[in-house]
Amino acid sequence: MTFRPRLHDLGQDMNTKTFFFIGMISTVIIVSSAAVIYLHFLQGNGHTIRVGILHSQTGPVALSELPIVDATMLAIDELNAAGGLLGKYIEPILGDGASDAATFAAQAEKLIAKDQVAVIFGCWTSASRKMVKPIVEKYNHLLFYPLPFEGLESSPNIVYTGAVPNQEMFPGVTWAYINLGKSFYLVGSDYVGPRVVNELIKMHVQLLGGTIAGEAYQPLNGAVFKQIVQDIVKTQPKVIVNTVSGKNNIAFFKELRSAGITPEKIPTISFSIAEEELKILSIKDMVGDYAGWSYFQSIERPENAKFVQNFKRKYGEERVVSAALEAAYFGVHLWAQAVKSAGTIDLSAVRRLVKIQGMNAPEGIVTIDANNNHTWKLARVGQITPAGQFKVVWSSGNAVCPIPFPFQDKQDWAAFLDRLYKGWGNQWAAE
Amino acid sequence: MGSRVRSLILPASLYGMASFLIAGILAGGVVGYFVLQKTAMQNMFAHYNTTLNVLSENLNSYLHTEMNRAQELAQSSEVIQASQDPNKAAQLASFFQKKLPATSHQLLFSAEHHVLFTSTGDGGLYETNSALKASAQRSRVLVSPDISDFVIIPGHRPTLYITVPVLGKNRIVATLAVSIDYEYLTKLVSDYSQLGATGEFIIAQIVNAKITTIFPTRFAPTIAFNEYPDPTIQEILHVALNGEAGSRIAHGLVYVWQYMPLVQWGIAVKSNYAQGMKALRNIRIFILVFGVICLLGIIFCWYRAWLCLRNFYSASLILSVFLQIVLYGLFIGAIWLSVLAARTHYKAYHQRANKELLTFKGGLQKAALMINYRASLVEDAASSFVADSVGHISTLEDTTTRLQRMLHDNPEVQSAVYVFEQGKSWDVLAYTAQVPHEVKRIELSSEQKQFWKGKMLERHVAWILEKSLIRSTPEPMYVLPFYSPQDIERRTPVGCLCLMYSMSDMLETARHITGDTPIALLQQDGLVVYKDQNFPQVSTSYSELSNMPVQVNGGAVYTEEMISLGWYLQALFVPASQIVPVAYAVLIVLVLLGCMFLCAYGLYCALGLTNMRKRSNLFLASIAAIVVGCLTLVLLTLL
Repeated sequence: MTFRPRLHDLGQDMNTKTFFFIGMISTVIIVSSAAVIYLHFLQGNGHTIRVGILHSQTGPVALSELPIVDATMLAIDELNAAGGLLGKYIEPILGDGASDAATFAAQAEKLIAKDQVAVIFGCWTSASRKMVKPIVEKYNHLLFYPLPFEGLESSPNIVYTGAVPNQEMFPGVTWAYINLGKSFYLVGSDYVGPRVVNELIKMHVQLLGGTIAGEAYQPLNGAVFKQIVQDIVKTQPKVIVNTVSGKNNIAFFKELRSAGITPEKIPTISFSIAEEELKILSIKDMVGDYAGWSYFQSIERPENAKFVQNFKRKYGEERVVSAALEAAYFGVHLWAQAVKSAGTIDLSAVRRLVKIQGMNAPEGIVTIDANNNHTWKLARVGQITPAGQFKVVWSSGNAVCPIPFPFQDKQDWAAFLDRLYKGWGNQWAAE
Repeated sequence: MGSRVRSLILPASLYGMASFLIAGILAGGVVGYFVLQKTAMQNMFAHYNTTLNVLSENLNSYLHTEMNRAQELAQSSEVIQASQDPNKAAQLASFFQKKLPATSHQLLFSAEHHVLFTSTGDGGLYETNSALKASAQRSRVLVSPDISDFVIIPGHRPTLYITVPVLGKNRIVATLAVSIDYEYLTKLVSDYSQLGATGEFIIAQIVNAKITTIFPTRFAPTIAFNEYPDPTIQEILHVALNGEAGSRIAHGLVYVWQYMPLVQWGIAVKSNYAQGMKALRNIRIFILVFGVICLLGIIFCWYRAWLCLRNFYSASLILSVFLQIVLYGLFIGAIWLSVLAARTHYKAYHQRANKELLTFKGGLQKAALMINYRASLVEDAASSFVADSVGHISTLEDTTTRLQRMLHDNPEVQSAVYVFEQGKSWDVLAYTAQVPHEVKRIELSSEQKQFWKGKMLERHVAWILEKSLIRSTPEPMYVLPFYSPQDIERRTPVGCLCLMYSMSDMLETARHITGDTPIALLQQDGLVVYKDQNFPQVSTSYSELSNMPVQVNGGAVYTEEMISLGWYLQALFVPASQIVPVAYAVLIVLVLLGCMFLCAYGLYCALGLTNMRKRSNLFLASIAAIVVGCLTLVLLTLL
């Protein structure tokens, strides 16, 4: 007779307590693992990639900086509309620099340490950038700085998408030297940017064989140009090189025109007046003068037409775009390309890969220079038209190599900057 | 009897476990292979990127050396003299012969574009070539060496030129153009030592609006100065020439590319995918052999288990149990797919909701920013007015005019009240500009004047001195005291300017951005300045205002601080649909419960525990169901 147990007897032979014990242990281990995995994968990584936008939203510089925020947000919106980055949406976190360099530094630290952003897009004045630089270097983080500026700086933690003097001022001055005249009068606001730029322009004009008829500065909070204009009338230069900032240009050009100086008599080439500034100036007084930038809204390229159209659609037909806005816009896209290539937002990987990024930006093909983190950009000279825009009268055609430390080496420039800083009472602008 | 059952069941169980272990190892091996494959792919891309970097550096280094040499020549006295005196230009031939290789070609042309010297005697080259002309002009304006695009003239070898401005006595007197050795560049781009048997470099430039390959490649030695016939490569070169760096696998080939801004070249590596993954081929073969051995092992284990159990079970019963296991597996698979589908839908919803929230938060930030900005304009106006007043004693007439002008120029200011010292008493001036640019004086009754004098200068003087500003409701205002220039040390106010914000403008600004979202404005102490009717009642104490949203029925209230104004803007966020996530959650829970039930059922069937009245069987099945359910949860989470 074959032994054949009743099937339901099989379970009875097993030790119920052992099963209970093993079952409980297994359940606890599995549930704990599930919880840990859930916390790590879903909460730790988050559903979004946070990026910091650090500009002044209040204070005197807010008027100029808010459009940069808009351009940055436009690029972020475009990326989000295309599905985000690495399967996540990009979440902008706004920081308010409040037009104060120290606040910029504090906000940068907050964005990095508290908000854990993957990158910061921001800063406006050189003073604010110089305050934020040690913060991003301390945390080994990444900042995209969009403004054209005086150069004399390079950091592995900052990507400079704005032009340096050899990409805007030198070509502009040379063009003016060839086409307008060989004697220059330099007028600027009294802070680090115009001081350095004019120092470089003096060296460049000397190289060209031109002459400097005069040089004068006004404090940022001062708008008295009568004395300066009288000096211009007296010295009769062929070209005025203007680096006066913001609203002070209203008073400067008013004085110029009152003294009978028109673009036909003595043309002005400005490196501080773009489309945004033209909106607050009297256009009829400005028509015929020149400006040197890497980008003008009027550039005829399909990439630019798309950028301008998207910007106006989002923010209103009356809005205009300028070189700084364009640099802020493509900076976001370059960062996104680096993140895509790296497959992660890990800072060391992104910093490494951002050095080989480039794109067909609204201004033309721009590329990050792996040696100094500055950007290869085009150089252009534009003439102001009655429509409040610029007509491009000269373009470099190809991107120009950025040279952040021209003529002298780093040490000499560091000594020069140190003299300026101490001369202004340990700050980056005159009182 | 029981011990006999155990003695046979135990080996069967061990064989069963061994088969699962082998299956697990096999599965681990397969997963490991795919991990290795991913790593190998990343390494392959990294290797080709490094190779491209090296090539780019080599080319840049060579070109920079040539540019420095050309610049040295341009700065030499021979070239400068020849630039200024055309009679001396003929002597340059021997000078260049000494300094440059025989294959090099030189051109010197004046600032007025007249050819002063040419090593080939062909002065027409400059006249006919736009690439050389453009480069010369660029180098002149940039006052630095420039590299031209390829100069392609029928009957001549394609050549690149370095153009350098010649500076004589601090002015540009001429431009020197020196050709670059194309053969040497070809040698540099023909170093395939790091590319294995199938890799090649493809380098292109835009010539006459066409993407033109400018060097022969390893497998297409005659391709130079022609378009590459492969559309994929053309597409990749197009991306590279737009400045972008990247990598791609297509049609069994790997492509990695970069852009060289110095010469506007797109450089790419093309290689066989199989070559890059060669190392994995052996592992794949090993996994295959190992897999076959594992399968044999599993069959062996199952066979041995069957041998142990065949005395207790009939073949038909074992087959029945086996079929039930298969059926159970199919059930689980089907449920698993349902869970995956539910989760995918849920994730898609979650992403949509997330985007909706981001848009909302962006709008809220922007609205807060704009209100804050408008408020800061009011503060700027007050500061400018007071700053203009300090330092000189204004007449009443002058002050009145300035006050009117300020209101006229600042549409953000709705009305202004100016309290000032008049002799030994105080007086009050009030203006309003409810219609922009139309400033009207408000005649104040003696009671109203008393209000301003009393309220502003008596009751709040301490606050004014301490904080320099007052904000109150329902008329939010900015108050700035000013002091006598003689008495500035004591900081006793001699007057005070109160500017009313245009509340309706502020709300309109916010609504323009937030749309129909219910909003509220709060002061730092939680006092409500403004609240929409449909805005929910939430706790508004200062300590509770933070970055965390306050959950309310059907939504969440988000708070944004307006730093300059010191207020908070709150808005209610209600996701587009509340029902969808709940529905998905319920679905997933139901599916999980179903999964657990089927697990229990499957185990019952598989083990033959048909006597459901026995507590121990029920307990065993329940534990098994919980374990399998938890496993499902873990896998769900991982996915």
